[in-house]
Amino acid sequence: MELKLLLEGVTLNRGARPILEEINLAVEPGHITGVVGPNGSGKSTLLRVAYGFLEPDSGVVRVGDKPLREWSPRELSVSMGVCPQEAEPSLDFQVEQLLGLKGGCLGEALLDKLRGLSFLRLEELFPKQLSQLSGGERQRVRLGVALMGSSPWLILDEPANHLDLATGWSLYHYLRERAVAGGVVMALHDLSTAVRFCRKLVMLSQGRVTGYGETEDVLTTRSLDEVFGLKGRLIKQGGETSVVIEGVTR
Amino acid sequence: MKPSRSSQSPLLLWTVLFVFSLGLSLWVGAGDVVWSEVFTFQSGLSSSLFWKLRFPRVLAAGAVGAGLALVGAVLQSSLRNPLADPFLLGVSSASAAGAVAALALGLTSGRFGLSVGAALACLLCLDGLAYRRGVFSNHILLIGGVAITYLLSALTGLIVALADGTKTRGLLFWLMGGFSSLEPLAAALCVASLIFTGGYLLKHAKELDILATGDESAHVLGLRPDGFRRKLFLICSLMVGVCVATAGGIGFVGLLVPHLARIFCGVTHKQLLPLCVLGGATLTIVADLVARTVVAPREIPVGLLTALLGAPFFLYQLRKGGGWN
Repeated sequence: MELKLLLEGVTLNRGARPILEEINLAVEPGHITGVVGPNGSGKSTLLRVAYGFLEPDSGVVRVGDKPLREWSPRELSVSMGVCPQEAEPSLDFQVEQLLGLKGGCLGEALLDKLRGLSFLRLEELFPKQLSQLSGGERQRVRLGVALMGSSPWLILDEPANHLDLATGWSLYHYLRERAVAGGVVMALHDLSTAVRFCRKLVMLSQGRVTGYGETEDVLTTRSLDEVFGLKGRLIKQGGETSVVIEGVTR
Repeated sequence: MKPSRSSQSPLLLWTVLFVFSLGLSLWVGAGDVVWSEVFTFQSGLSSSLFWKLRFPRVLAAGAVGAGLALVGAVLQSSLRNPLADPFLLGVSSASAAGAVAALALGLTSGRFGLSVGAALACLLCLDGLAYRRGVFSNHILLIGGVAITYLLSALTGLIVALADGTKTRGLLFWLMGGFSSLEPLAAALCVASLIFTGGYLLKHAKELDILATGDESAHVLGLRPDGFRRKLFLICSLMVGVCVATAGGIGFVGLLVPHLARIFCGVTHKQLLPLCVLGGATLTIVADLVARTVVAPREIPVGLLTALLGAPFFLYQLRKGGGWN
C-alpha cells in the first residue's frame, strides 16, 4: 500500500476564527504518525478533515492522486478505519449489532473478522447493551469498529482514551505492527507514548503546523516550551528515547 | 434493563393483537349488519354500510396509525432524540395548517397536496436551520420545531376563528383527530402511502441503524448522513401529510409506539419497523373503535383516545428503560 495521505493548503474557518490554517502535509504509510498539540490546537479537526467528515473551506485532501471528495462514502469507509473521539450512538444498541454494522455480519462470522483484535476482548462485550458499558469498554467497541477489516489507512483520535494501561499498551503495539503494511495517523496527548511509538510527529499550535518530521526532531526542549508551555527534554538511554517533563514554563 | 432478545415472540404477539383488533373493529359498530349480504357483495344497506363506511374507516385508522408510528421511529432515530415525533417537530402542525387552509378555501381534496407540501416545507426549513457549517445540530432542529409548532398552531387557530360559522365545528373536530366523514378514496391513499413508506424504510433498515449511531459514525461506516436524512424527511412528510389530511391531528402514536416497540425488540430497525406498523395500527384501530362506539351515536375525537389508552400502558412499560443509551 503506497498511497500517501496528502493535505494541500487546507484551511477551515469557524466564524471569523480559523481552526486550521494553510495545512500542508504529506503523510506516508509504513509507520505511525502522531498528531500532537495542546487543547484547541486543531488536532481533532485536522483528523476530521483527513477522514472526510469535514470539508475544508479551501485546500484539498487526497489519498494518492484522488481527492477525498471524489471517493464514495463506501469506498472511503473501506479504505479508512476511523476512531472518532467520543462519538456515541444515542440508541441503546447491543455491542454485537453495532460491530455488525461495520462487519456486515453477526455471530461467528463477526468474531472471525475480529480475530486479530483479541486485546480488545470484544467477545465478552457482545451480548451487552451500550448503556451497560463503562467508558473504557465503549472505547474498546469504537476501536473494534475502527480496526476491523484491513483498511490501508487508520485515523484515530486519542485511541487510548479511557483504556486501562495494559489495553492501551497492546493497542499501540498492534498499531505499530499494522503500520508496517499501511498508514496510521493518531492524535494523542501523552508525549511519552508519542516518543515511543510514533516515528513521525505533526505538531499543531493554534491551527498551524509548527513542526512535521521525525519525532526526535520535532519534540525538542524548545518546542516543548513554545507549543506546550512545558519544561522538558528528550533523553536517550540504551537505544530508547523518552521524554522527561520537569515542570511548566508559564 | 435488557430488551427481550428474541424478535420472534413480540412479532407474533403483536400480530395476534393486530388481527384481533382488526377483526373486532370490523365486527362491531353502528347498525345491524347482515353478514351474509356483506360477504356476497349484494347491494343493500348492510353491504354499503360495511364496504363504504366501516371497512374504509378501519383501513384508514390502521394505515394512519402505522404511518405515524413509522415516522415517529424514523425521526427519533435519525435525529437521535427520544422526543422527536411529527408533533414536536411541527410537521403535523404544518400539515394541519395546510389542510385547514385548503378546507377553509373550499378545496376539499386539495388538502392532501397542501398538507404534504406544508409538511415538506417545514422539514426542509428545519433541515436548513439545523446545519451549521456542515455539522447537523439536532438541538437546533428540535427548538426550531417547537417554534414552528407554535407558529403554525396559531395560524391554524386564526383560520378556524376567521372561517365562517358553519365550517368551524367541522374544522375543530377534525383538528382533534378522527375518522368520521372519511371518503374511501382517502383510505386508499393512506394505505398506498403506508405501503410505499414502509417498503422504502424496510429496504433501508440497515442505513437507518447506521444513521442512528450519529453523523460522524455514519460517515465512518460509509453513509452520507445529510443526503440520507433528506430522503427520509421527504418520505416522512409524504406520510404525515397524508395522515393529517385524512384524520387530522392524531397525537401520541408517533411518540409512543416506537418507544414501546424498542422495549420489546431492541433498537435495530429490521425488528423495530414491523412492530411499529403493527403497534401503530392496533392502537389507532382500537382508539377509533372506542371513539365510535362508547357514546354512539356521538363520537369522541380519536386523538384524545390514543393518548388516554396509550399513555398509561406506555408509562408502565417505561420502567424497563426505553432503549436509549
